[in-house]
Amino acid sequence: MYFGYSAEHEELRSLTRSLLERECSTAVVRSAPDAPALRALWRRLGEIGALGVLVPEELGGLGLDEVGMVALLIEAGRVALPLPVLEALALAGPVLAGPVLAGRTEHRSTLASLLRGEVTVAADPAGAGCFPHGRAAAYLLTGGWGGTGSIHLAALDTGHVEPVESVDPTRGLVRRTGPIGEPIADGPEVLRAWRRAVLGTAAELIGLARRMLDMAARYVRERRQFGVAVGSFQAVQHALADALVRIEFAEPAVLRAGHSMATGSPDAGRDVSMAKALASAAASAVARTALQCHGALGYTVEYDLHLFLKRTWALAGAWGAASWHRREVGRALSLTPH
Amino acid sequence: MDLSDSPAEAAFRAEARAWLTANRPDPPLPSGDTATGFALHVEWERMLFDAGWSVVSWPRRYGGREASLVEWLIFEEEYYRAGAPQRVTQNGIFLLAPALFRFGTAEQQNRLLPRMAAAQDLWCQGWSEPEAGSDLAAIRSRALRDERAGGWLLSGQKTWTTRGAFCTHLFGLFRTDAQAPRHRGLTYFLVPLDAEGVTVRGFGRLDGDEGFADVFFDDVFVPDDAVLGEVDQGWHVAMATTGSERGLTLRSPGRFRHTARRLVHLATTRGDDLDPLLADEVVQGWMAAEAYHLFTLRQVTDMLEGRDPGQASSLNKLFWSELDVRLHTTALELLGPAGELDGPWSRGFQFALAGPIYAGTNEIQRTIVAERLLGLPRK
Repeated sequence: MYFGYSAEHEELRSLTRSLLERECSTAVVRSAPDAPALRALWRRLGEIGALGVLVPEELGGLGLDEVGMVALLIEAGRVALPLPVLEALALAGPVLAGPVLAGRTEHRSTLASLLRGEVTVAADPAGAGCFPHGRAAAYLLTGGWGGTGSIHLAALDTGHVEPVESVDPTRGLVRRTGPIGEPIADGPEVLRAWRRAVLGTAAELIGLARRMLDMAARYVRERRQFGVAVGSFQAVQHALADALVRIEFAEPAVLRAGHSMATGSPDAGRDVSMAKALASAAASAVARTALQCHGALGYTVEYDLHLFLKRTWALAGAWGAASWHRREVGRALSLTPH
Repeated sequence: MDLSDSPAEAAFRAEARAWLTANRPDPPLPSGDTATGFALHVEWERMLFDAGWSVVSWPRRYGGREASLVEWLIFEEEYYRAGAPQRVTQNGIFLLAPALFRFGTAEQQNRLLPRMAAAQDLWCQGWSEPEAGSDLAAIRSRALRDERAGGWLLSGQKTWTTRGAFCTHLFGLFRTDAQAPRHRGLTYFLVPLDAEGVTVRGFGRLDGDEGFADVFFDDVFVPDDAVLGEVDQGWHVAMATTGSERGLTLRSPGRFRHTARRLVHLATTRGDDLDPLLADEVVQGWMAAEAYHLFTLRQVTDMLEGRDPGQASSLNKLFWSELDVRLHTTALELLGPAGELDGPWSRGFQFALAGPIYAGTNEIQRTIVAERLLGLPRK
């Protein structure tokens, strides 16, 4: 029994972390979705191999498993990375490298430019015509909601794309009308892609929650009212203690789901849904506590907390909200009809 | 990452499962917190000992089988899975023993551990007093030096002592230096309850069982070898092992996973259509039990790599105690009017309600988490 990162996972995690701490400040997050700095950051992520975690080494990836993806996306969440790394890691990389495409050279070159950090890929799993990261992306993956149906690939220079306001302006949300393109994955590939995206989103939420709790704990240590640090008040202490409990008991579920996917466990679907349900609920609760503990300062756009709150709100509902995934767990336990 | 059993662990699991399945009491024993039930539990504990399962992680010379931390966790999982009885010896083997291993003299270890493992000595914990619950350092029971006789005279009162009316020995804190600041000047004593001057009065807990006791000390003489650790260092000795009570050691995930499985079983075998609202409650309870299991696997991994979980046991305590209440509350909702009947779920519910109170109330634990883990300032 060993429930932790391997040396390879740990290396990827710490490499990603130091890159993101250096190059993804909150000023960079605020500059999304259109700033040139983001294109440079995307290429840097490509250089360290972070965009091809699940892609086999012979195709230019790192050839790691879903646990590696989790390790990396927790770090992406921690800095509220405003780039479609989830889409690259969970969807585009594995799908472009997948069996349906074997031998299709034009997709191999798309994969290569994705791994080098030259292009980004957006995803619209529900086929709603409205999706994040569409302002800068070169390609769009459509379909696969719930792990069923097929996934289609279209170039985003086809059709009509226009920006849409999002609660999180750094998401680069767009609305598009246009062809969904050619099918590039179906059957078990779609199910795996869906689960990876759900899992990856859960991992990002864990990173976001950790960051928000760090910010709140630091703030209440320094902020003084009534002549004392507000963090010495029991009401504040207990709220933040509960926030830590939420995170500490959600993160292992996310790691386990990564392990279940990596080992092809028959319980992988249940474990991934449990991870998202717990991570969505934990991050949402931590967001509220962090805001409350910051008082009015947190309720401004000048202070950075709102960047993490808004990303949390967006991701908590993305790829199935907590209640959607609890129903899936209920199905796996035969509590809910199939 | 590897969550599977090694071949040795799988063999250990199979051996434990086979023995427990063949030997667990069926039907289950009555509550161990009554005089008759306690006696039956002690018989069970002696059976466990004879088969080498009472203290699996201990050295062989004290009756253990030197199981690894992971094997211990496997045993606990199998123990609860088999529906085996609560451990009435738990305060000795899980709370006192870690302190004895760490602070006891060789003589104390040799004298006390084998009898504890064999359920010959049955230990209760003497922490709380009428004026010292959460504020443990406020204890007033004292020990006066009797130089001539080479020992100490204990006086005062302990209360809410679990199974105090049925146990044979008590470990507790007594004030040995009245002048020292509160946390100093306390000493950890090991006291036989048949000593002259000890009076034990059992009383009913919330569920009606006589699970609590007052223990009165009226100039009870104990010799010097009844002191565990250094004189006046009792707080340090006691606190060094609180993690056992709050965390992994006493609250192994097997217990809560078993309750969660029973809850899912209850929900899926009731025969009528399950209310989706209740189904969701069951899902949440089941996920929380899994989350506790996974959290502890991570803790075990940390411990195997030499990292001390330290104050993290307060996180365990907050989580398992609320989890236990939640699982039982959901079960009672599922049972509806039948939840009022005396039975495993209504009993378990009342038992679960003690969790957020004992071993340091959850309010105390939240303060520890805030100050020690999040670095928030003390009041």
